[in-house]
Amino acid sequence: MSSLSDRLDDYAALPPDERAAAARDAAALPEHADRLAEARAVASLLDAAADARPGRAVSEDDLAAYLADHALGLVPPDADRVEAALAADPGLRDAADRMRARLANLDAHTAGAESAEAQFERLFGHTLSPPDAAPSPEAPREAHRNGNARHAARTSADRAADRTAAAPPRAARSGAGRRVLVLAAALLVAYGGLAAVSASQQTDRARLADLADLASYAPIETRGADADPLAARLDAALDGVEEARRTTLGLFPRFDSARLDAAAVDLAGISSAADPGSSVSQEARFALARVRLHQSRDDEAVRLLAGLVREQSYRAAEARRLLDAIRTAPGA
Amino acid sequence: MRDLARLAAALPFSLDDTDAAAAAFAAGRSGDAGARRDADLWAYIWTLRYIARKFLTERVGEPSDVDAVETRALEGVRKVWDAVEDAARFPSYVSKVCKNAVLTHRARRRTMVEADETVLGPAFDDERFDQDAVIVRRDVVTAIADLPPAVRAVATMRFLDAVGYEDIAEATGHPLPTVRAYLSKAVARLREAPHLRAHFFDDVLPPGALAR
Repeated sequence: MSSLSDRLDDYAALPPDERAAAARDAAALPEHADRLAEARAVASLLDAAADARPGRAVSEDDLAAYLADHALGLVPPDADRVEAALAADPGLRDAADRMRARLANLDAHTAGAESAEAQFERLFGHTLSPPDAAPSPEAPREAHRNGNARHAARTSADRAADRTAAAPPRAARSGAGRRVLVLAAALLVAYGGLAAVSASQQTDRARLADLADLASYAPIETRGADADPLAARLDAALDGVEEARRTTLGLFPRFDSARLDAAAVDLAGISSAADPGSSVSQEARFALARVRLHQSRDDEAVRLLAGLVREQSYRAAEARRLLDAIRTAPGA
Repeated sequence: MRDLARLAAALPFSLDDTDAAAAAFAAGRSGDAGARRDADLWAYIWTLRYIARKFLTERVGEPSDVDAVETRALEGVRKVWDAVEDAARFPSYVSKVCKNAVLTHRARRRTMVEADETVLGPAFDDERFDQDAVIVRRDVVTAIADLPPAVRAVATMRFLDAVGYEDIAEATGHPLPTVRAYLSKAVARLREAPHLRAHFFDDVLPPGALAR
């Protein structure tokens, strides 16, 4: 028989009975504890890879994946196989009933909580397109190809119905309609030209601060908890920044300095009053830093951004990028 | 539970396409803002899906625990841009952060559960490798592809297709001792493969990358 050391080396490749014997022998020798732990870790990793092979029997993990994906609005990757197994296996149906009861509890708990979109935007600092934006004609097909969202499961008949409903009457596409289209196209070209001029006139400083991108704050809503007054103040202060912005037909943006100062004072007050570790404080300081950057008050901006980096805020990565940009900006 | 349909629809690749996620991470790191958003979006959806799936199989714990685990996991995921140097490891990193968040939750629950709750157990099996199978299998496939051809064929049958020793010997024409010797070599190589080590050891990530 191989030595215990050899058997632990080969543990992941051993059949179950030989693994059990090796584990039993190693457990009696404390000096082998670390090697046994590593052997088990490697074995469990390789077992997991084998368990994920196509065509394997449906497990409770597969069932959980199927039910969770449905509940989250995702398309389960292996739905047909799981549904066939559910139809054939009463034990699996019992497990599904238990999981559905658990899902109902989770649903009740998260009712009224912050939406996924708001949470993603708040935590990661990205802005998603508005939910009511008209989808491109390719969107359903793309989603179907990707297999991500539940709307991918819509049938071709659904899409045909959508196209029929959206198609304008034939008469509207002739005569006056064409002239309107030509006029609209001309206006679009003119507007595009002005937009290019507007963009070219924007200063590097304004681009860096990008105050137009200061999203409204979506506070975390916890069931049974009172709304945080500071969160409401932060949302109002961010609205203040937005209201300080002036444009001409959406172009040539500039800021009302008095209103911007007032918003900055609000943001400073909020960051002083809030717990430094709270998202309200971090959002307020990050927004204030961008306002100060816009106002060319770089020392204050750097102090605020450096604080966020030092505290390993979730805004730290963006703060670090702004700090780098300030330090490399002309005249810095 | 939160509805992820709209976020998933905004993702330009399949959620289970971890290679595409790694590519988005690499492009995001090179300055492509859209790719950076896609990588963050993938990580966010993956994290919430992972935790939802896990909590359906947990036998103890309150719905409010989901919030705590999500918060812990998302804190770790947000550090990914600083923590991961090799873009190919981005999906594995996210998966490991999720796993650690669940394990930490379990460890805390163990110290708090009442006796009547434990009657429902044993709920947790520490030996079970409970990370997402898609990522684990992808990394094992990658590691096996680097093995010498003869060893690779045997390792593929054993570790990816779960074929028994005797059947491998019959299929390959090798004597049983040769099959065992090849598998022994395969395990030795796989144990040292960086992509696989990253799943169970922290030594391939920068110090503190997984610290909370």
